Amino acid sequence: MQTVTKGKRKVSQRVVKKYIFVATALAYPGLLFFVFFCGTSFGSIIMSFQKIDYAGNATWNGLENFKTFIKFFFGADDRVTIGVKNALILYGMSLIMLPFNLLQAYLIFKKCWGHAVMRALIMIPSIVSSLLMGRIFMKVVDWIIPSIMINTFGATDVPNLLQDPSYAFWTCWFYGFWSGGSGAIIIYPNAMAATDKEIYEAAKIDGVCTMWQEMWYIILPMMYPTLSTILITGFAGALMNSGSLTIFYKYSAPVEAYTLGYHYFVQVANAKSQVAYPPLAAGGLLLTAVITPLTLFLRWFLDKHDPMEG
Amino acid sequence: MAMKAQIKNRTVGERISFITAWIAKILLWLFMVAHCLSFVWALSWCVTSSFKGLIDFTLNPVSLPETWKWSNYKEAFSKFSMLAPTQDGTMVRYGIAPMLLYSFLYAAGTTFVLMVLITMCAYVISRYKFFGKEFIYTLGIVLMVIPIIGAGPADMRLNRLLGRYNNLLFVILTPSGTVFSGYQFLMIYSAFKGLSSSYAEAAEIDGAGHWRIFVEIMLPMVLPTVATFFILNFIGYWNGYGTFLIYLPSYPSLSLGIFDFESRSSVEGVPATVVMACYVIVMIPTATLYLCSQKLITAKFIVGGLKG
Repeated sequence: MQTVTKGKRKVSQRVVKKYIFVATALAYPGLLFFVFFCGTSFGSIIMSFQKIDYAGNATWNGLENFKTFIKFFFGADDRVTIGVKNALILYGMSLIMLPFNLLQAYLIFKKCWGHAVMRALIMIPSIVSSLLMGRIFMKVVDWIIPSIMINTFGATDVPNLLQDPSYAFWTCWFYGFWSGGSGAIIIYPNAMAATDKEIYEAAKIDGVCTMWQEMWYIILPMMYPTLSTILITGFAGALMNSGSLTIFYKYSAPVEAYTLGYHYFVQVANAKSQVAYPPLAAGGLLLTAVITPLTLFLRWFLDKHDPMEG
Repeated sequence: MAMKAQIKNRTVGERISFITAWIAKILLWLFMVAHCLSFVWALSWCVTSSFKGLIDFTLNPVSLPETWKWSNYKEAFSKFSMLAPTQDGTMVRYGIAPMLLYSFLYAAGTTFVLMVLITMCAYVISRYKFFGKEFIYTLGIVLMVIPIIGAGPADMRLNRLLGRYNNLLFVILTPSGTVFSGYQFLMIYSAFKGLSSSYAEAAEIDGAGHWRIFVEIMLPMVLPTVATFFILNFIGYWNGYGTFLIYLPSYPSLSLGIFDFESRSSVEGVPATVVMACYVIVMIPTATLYLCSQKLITAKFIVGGLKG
């Protein structure tokens, strides 16, 4: 009897110790979540119904901030409309470039000649820092391109690709494509390598032998979770990131190159007071309300079409 | 020869598919080589330009320096500085040494705190059964998917309210509000989940406590994954300038310093070649770190699915 009680006490002590350990491990992350994530999100909701004066005092403002943002969105402020449009174009471009990136990854996965060196070199922009790489790119655009155009092609009028509003957005996109190759050459090949080698061998016996067949019948289905993750998070990222605009222009990008994330960055970083914050918070709330169902729909759609679950 | 043997005994359709695949492979390979070489060229151009005189650079931006001007580096070390406000608003000029110190403190401190929190969270959620575990995991996945747009103004207000604004220690100690979400968490979670329970059970029979099992048995087994993210985070924080620009105006880092120095360089008469020498100085620490850990980083980088 005594042994049973002792045993029970030991078990309960172990359970208590386990819960103390779990609670200790999760307490601080939980606190950070409540203060910084919930606090910010809740604060953003509250702020969207407030008016803040130059002294920082907040008063109830009803739906005025939402009306202001909608007015901005539908023409009164080009930066919001262009920002959303450009963010969606960037996402669209990432979808268009996806097959190309996958094919590059395939070559690395198949250990093409020089694959190890390529993998090391492609990380350069992330390692050297996007800021420095961006500034070097800027110098190339400022100095090298005009020099080549004038000296080699005899051009007389060479536009600055980053400063001319007609070229700025696509030059920034090109920079993102050029410097952002690590996804294609680092993440995808590792995901391809995670597939059991026996599957490739079995498929070979079944007649799957060209690159196109291997991609279509094995790699794409097996990599589907990785791809859908990138497509889903990329959608949210396109709307929230300011991309390379801060590197090239700090606070003064041409309006034609604006993305939504950059617009918010400039408004927050450049604000002399908090007066401008509430319409931005209201806009963020509206956009979140519109984009969240779209993102969830995208996730549902991609999950539904998972070839491994069909 | 090998190609010929592979084409033999195939239908016309298969032959076309085979040949187009080969052509595509060759074109892709050439593109990838050109892409990689463009990075090498860009960096080499930056390094060689940092040794040029301004006239040489203006007249021949592409060629090698006529004379190698080492004095650009001397000038870079003496002039690379940033004007930033102190806590009471007075403008002070910071040189390389304080910027280097702030960059290091921020990168090392934030990375350490973040990795400890992510690793602990991932370990507990992957290895222990407790009420709410599934909820936390699913919440982490949902947070990765849902875009919270426009929270910047509220975030800034909260930072000022809590005293986190312009407080380096506070920023280091509060690296993220969602440590149980994101790729890094999922990767470390998977690494812990894939470990056999037998080691922990044997240690438990021998009387080891939860902390000891975590620190001495389980953590060493996932150390390569944790170390990879430690290095990547360190590099990311070292290179980052957004936090310093928005939240830490009195703590200029090297990255932010470059931003500021370059914008002032034309006004202060600092040649573009000296600015490029500053680029080289700033990129040396992370490039060295990467060279030492390149194999580990490229082998561990993988993204999984988001099924909650």
